[in-house]
Amino acid sequence: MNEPELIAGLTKGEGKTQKFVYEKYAGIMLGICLRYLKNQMDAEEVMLNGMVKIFNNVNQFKNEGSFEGWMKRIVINEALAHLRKKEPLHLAIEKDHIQLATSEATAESELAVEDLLQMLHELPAGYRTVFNLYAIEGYSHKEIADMLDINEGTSKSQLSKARALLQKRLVGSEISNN
Amino acid sequence: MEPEDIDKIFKNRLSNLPATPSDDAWKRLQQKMEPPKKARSMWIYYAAASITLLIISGIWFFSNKNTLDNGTLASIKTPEAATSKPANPENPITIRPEDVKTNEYQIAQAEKVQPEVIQKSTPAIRSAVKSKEKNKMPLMAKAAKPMNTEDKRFKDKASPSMFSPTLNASAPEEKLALVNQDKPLPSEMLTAGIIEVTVKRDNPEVEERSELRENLARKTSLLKNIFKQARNLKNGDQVELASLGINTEKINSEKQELKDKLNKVISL
Repeated sequence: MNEPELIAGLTKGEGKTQKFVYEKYAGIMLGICLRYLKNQMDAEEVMLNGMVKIFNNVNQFKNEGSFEGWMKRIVINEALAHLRKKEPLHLAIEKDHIQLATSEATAESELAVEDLLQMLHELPAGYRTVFNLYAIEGYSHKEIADMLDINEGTSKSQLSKARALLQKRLVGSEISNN
Repeated sequence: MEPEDIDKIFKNRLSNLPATPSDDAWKRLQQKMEPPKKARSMWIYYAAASITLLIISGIWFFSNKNTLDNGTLASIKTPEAATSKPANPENPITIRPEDVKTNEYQIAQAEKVQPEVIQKSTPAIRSAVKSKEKNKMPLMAKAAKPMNTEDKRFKDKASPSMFSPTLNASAPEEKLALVNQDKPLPSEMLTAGIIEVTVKRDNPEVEERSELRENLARKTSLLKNIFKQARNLKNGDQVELASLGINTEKINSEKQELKDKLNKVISL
């Protein structure tokens, strides 16, 4: 099934197509949710809610960009909404200065996905969210500012702080690995 | 390490994070899909239930009203039908002039002596008959007079409610009657109402006055009752329909039926 067929099937509310879309995308969407939310159960719940929104609002898809991108955006928004409710984002600029790690950490190949995810989860929710949106999802600071209802400066500062903390962790894990 | 490198590390490893939803996730998704539909259909049920409720209560209200009217009519009519000749079958309203006449007097003197009422009513009927045979116009004047001398309170509540339904009044007349129950009538309107009353009296069979007199006692009590109930209604007291010869059992059974219907609708 290609995208137009999927969209047509979903628009008609076909259970068969919904099942197909679920089988194909549930894992990807759950992966996205897991980057934003620490709790596995929360992530799955958010993914399912996102899927319901996708199925119910498929007629709002305007063929701008890919259908997958549209679905991801819905799931991300769902995750952000959940974060706002459950984990205050703490997006205010924090005064405390974060020491940037100086050592040259590489050897990224040695780092397991689970470790990286763990590091991401240890970030404060605001840092994590901005880092996810900018570094992994590829949104611009302007888009992020709109999505989170903050200004661009805040988005930039949150990103740099997130990077600094992650770098520190990476170096730390490097050292402990050696 | 450049900041962009950190971004790259995480992006490469986490952008397609392998994840497997739990086994029951699809079922939960289907459950989540249902609520909006359900909510929508429930709204339809609520709307349908309220509309049916309105219709049913409306029907019940009017049928109740009709049974009240019919009850009054029937009980007055039956003796008449028994006494009157088979002549003039095409006009069932014919019986009424007597009732109306007696009404007017009785109520005027309701709390006085009954025999007097009968005596008084008889000449009135005579005059009604006469005038009917000749010309209706003088009768109207006559009818208007006694009405004006009567207790105004009575006119306001009793005459419209008693008379207009029995006279097979058209819808506007009924409305008028309803209005009358609440507000005192301007004298013009009163006269108009009386005109209606007299016009409908095209009945030449008032001859059986003797038989009529026998019935008068019964009618008197019935009318008294009706009058009393009307007063109760106006004063907001309890109205005893039974004393008006209205079958409460029938109403009760209708009520039960309605309740069943309602329960069905609600259980839907």
